Amino acid sequence: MSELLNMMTIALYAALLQNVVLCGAYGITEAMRVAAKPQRIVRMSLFVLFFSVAGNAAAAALNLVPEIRSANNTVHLVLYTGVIFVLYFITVLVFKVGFKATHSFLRQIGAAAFNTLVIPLPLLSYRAAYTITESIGAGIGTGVAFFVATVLLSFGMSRIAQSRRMPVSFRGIPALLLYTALLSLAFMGFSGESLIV
Amino acid sequence: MTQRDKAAPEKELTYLQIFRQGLFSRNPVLVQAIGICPIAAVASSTKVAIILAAISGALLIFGEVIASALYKYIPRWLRVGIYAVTFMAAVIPISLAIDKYMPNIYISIGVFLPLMAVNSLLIYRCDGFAVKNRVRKSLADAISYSIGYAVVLVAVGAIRELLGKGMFWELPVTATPPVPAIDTPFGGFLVLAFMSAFLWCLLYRRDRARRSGELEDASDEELNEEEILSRVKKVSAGIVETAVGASSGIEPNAKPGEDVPPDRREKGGEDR
Repeated sequence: MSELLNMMTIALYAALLQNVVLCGAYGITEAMRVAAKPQRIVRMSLFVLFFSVAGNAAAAALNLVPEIRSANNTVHLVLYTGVIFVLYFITVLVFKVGFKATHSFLRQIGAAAFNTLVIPLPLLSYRAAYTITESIGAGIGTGVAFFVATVLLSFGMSRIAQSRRMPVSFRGIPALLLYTALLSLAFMGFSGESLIV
Repeated sequence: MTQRDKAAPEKELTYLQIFRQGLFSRNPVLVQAIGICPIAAVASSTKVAIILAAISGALLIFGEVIASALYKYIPRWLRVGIYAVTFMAAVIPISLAIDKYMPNIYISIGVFLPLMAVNSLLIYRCDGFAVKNRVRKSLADAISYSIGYAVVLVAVGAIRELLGKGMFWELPVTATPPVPAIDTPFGGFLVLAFMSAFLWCLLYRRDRARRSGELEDASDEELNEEEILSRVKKVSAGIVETAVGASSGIEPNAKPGEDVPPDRREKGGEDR
């Protein structure tokens, strides 16, 4: 019971209190790209959730091997990238052969697997000495954080596109970056970090 | 080489155009919003920014040459994974070398050093340009985008070091940091937003100057403004879509506004 509670706490912390996408800028480019296409938000978020949970859990299981646990960061990273690649390959193969998925769809799987949000997660979990359950929690939190960030960015983008009073130079990407900065500031406020001193 | 690669090469560009695009009119960060993660998260000092710029440049040049020469023979559906694995293999010796010779820099960059391997800029340029073009052009593209990326990275690093830490090149400039918050990702986004606005302002001015030359009959300034605004409208609706290319299936060289949901296009039209 306490394991489950621990997992949910870590998930909530990663998703809301310290949104890894908006506070840490992990995977922010992918989030912006997906937010530009609202119809893809749920699908991409589910893929990110899958890769972060499965990848992180598999990496945590590998860390149970004493030789791997005592290895340096580079070895860990090679292993984790290998784990994500295997998951990606299996997923792509299933969707290509089983569901005759289009190339565009398969490329989205690639974007969900290999980005600056999913790849560092096992390393961050290893540094935090998470157990397998806690790693699953961190993976869930990361997937939810991605979803929350893309929904907020998508909402902001549609409002920016409707704005009549914005200076010409700020329309488009500059306004989006400003909006992202404000979101980042808001989520940093949740974590209680002081920005003044 | 797949049928699609043969059928749809990127528009033939001269070397000069390729260089201009990477540096200015299609700057990866300020115009296309790609490769933002390392800049916003970790480029908070000039030294670190220079190291990151050097690594990303080396990886981009290596990756584009390899992709142009070899990867067009790999099935398209598998390429994204192959790019990531290739870049990871290339970044490991760099990471080990920095850990050995520059341990302080290694600590300050942290997890973002290996993350350069999955920087969206690398995958986007390899998939969007290199596999469709010859090695020479891919090399030119890689150099121009590397410089475009490096200029932004170093500028952001220097500004954040100055405002966030009150230092430049690790030497104190002010007694107290003027704006400590600039040191956080929030500050990174903020600096990027203003730099992007500045670049867009230059692009509009250049566009306006060109248009005013073409529209001699229309002496009324409003007409020029209208032309410029029509371009802005296209940009605000389509630029993010254009940047999406590598990850979500839109062709990277698609015109701005293509594949934009109809509701968003209409809203953009009502704007002005």
